[in-house]
Amino acid sequence: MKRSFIFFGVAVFVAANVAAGLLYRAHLEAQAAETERAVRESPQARLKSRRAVLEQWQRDVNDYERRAGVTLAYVVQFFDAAAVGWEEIALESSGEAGAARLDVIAVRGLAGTSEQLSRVDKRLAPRCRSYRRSPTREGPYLLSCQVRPEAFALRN
Amino acid sequence: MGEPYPEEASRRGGGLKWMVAAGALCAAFWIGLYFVSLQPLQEDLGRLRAAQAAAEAELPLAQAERQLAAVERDLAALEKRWETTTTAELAKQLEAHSVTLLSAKPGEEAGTFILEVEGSAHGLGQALPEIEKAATAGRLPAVLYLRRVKQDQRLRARFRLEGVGRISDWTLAPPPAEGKP
Repeated sequence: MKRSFIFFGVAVFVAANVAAGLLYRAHLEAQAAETERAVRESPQARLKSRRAVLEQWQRDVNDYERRAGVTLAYVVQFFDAAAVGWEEIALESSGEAGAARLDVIAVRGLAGTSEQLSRVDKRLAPRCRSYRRSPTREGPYLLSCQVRPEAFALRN
Repeated sequence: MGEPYPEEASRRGGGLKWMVAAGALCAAFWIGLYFVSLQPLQEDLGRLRAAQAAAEAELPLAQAERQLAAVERDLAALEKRWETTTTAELAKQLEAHSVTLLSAKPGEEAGTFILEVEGSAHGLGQALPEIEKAATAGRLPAVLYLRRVKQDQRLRARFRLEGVGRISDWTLAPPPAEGKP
């Protein structure tokens, strides 16, 4: 009788300890979640995130309002007309003061015969302030052109 | 002088052993719980509270709310000037040149988007000017500009286009993250 009472007492003690430990952990988790939510939704955090969005949008709009330079449509049409394949075309900004928003054409993976690529050189190079194309026997056939101001104005 | 009731003594000793074992078990449980769970949680909580206090010290709540209202006003004013398009509209413009819109989703930066399309380079060259069409005077077009196109090396008729603009719904892809146009 006494022995079973001791067992019962010991079992209750262990169970109470385990329950208290788990409850304390749950309490800490709830507090951490609540504090995290408060930090995330605080006006300071929202201000930071919304200001970042506004600044990004304003940068995009300011970029758009600069001269167009060259459009992706033009470059895709140009290589289509020249029957020269490509893997990737990216328009970038040289960052030069007064330059158009997108004034650098970078092409990777050109595919065409040397005659076709020579024709591309002849047609494109005069419209670029700087023009480079890797020799066709070298991979991955890069082309880069920083367009002259107004060189593509009629197409835009 | 021996124990008068040896049976009773052995019973007492057995009970004591159980109590010591239970104490050791509980101590081991608490130590394990502390290092595995409680300590990292307490550290997280401390870090979060420090961040909360630092944010409050850097910019008091009332001031943050005033500045947030001003930013929201500027965003609303910008949105009013800016046309918006839908993925359905983009799909229609591309379809006119036999280019199929497979998916549209927001890019990593605010205001950017990524379109996956299928068609020919010729069709794409014809369709892009329509997408980038200028808006009416004083307004910003939905698609400000497209800046990158990449051909899928395995499926050569597939292209991934990246641009900057405002697309109001993402019917062909999961919804955009908060704050995206």
